[in-house]
Amino acid sequence: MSSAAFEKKSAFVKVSGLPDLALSTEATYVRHRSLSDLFSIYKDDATLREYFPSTFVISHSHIINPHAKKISNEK
Amino acid sequence: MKSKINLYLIEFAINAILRAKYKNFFIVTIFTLLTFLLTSIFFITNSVRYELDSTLEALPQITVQKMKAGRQYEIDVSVVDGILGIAGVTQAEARVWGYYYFEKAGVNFSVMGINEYENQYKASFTELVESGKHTLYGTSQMMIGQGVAKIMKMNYYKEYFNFIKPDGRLKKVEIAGVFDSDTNLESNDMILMSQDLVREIFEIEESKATDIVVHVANPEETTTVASKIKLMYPDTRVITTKDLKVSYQNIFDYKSGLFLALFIVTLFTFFIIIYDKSSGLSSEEKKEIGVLKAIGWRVDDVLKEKFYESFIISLFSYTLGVALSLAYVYLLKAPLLRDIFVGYSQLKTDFELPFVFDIQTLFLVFFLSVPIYVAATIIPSWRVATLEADEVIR
Repeated sequence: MSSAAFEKKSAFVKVSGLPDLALSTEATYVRHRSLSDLFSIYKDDATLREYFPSTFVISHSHIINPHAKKISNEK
Repeated sequence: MKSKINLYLIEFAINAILRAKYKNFFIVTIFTLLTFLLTSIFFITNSVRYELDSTLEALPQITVQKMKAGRQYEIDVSVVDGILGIAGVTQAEARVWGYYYFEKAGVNFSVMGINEYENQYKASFTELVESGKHTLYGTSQMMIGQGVAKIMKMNYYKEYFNFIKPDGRLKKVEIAGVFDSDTNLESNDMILMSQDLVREIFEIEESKATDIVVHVANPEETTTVASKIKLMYPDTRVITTKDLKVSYQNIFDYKSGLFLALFIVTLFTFFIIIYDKSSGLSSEEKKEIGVLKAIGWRVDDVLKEKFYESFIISLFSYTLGVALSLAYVYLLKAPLLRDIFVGYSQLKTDFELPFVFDIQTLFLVFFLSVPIYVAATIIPSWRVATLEADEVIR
């Protein structure tokens, strides 16, 4: 990556303030997976199964209840 | 001093490979295909992860979301004042953003509201916007990503776009500019417009926001501030840049889904070759070793020749596979494989990935393939070579 491109990317992320890439935009919990949690899919229906192909490649954010985990780590 | 590498043996090995042309051609093809597939996938995932990590620093340190009944909900803007009271917090900002589903094209746009009067945005836009104006004026203009521009153009929206508000009325918004293609991986589906406009389109009240971002003066204090926010507002989900880093690290789940399927298939294919090789030599190959021994070759000469033979084949296939996958991923932008990552999305990115030369991946694939193949060739040859020559020929 050239430094000019890197600067532009950083500037854009700073302006938008949103994580993740626009690789897959089919589902909101895949597009901004770091801001969604493991249960995001169930907001549509609790019995839904994942049916978007990108979820077989792109996994969930692995930040489940981050606060509780941190507390138990500190103890 | 005598050279350790016997050039005559190598010449003999190459000739031996060429003698069994069709069989070796088949092995090279399969071997190349396997390394090509594995390294391509690893190159893509590494590049995506590199791209993510490189912009991690630019993200806000803490994001606060409100959770209600297991779903993310609109957060009260008044929470900002509470957060600003925490020591160490320099800035807290209520954001309004969301997804706009453009039904006609079947795509999701990410719409972000920004404060257009702030100076930092003006400076950034001059750098970021490729065509059009570099500033947002008033409350009816927006900046869009290249993918969004393409979809809008296909639907005859060249200068403006009509958003449908929740009450069914239209909101006409002018396209002020399109973002630079260098930022495509981040900006492809993004629309940036003033916060008031986002509120109008999504019908979000003034007292509500989508989430709150917090800036902390000392990065070391981020975790403490995050836990304080969580204590003050137990109904929130607090995400720090540390969490984002964890999230970025685990973007691809190698233990399930597509990757598991891929690894199983490649390993099985490879071990079929290995099984075929190690289950014993054909009578012709046995005879060859017998003749070599009869004319005076020692066991270690035979093994050396077999080593050269298998090493040349496997190294050649490995290098060919890696070279092909480099060209495939970074020059051709990974057609077919790209669709696995993009899924059903109608709004496709260019897939122009940053070039990352990851030695670790190359070593991993190398040690998974070449030594195993060499061993699978040498061991059966050793079994035959240790026998008496007349026993083998007979």
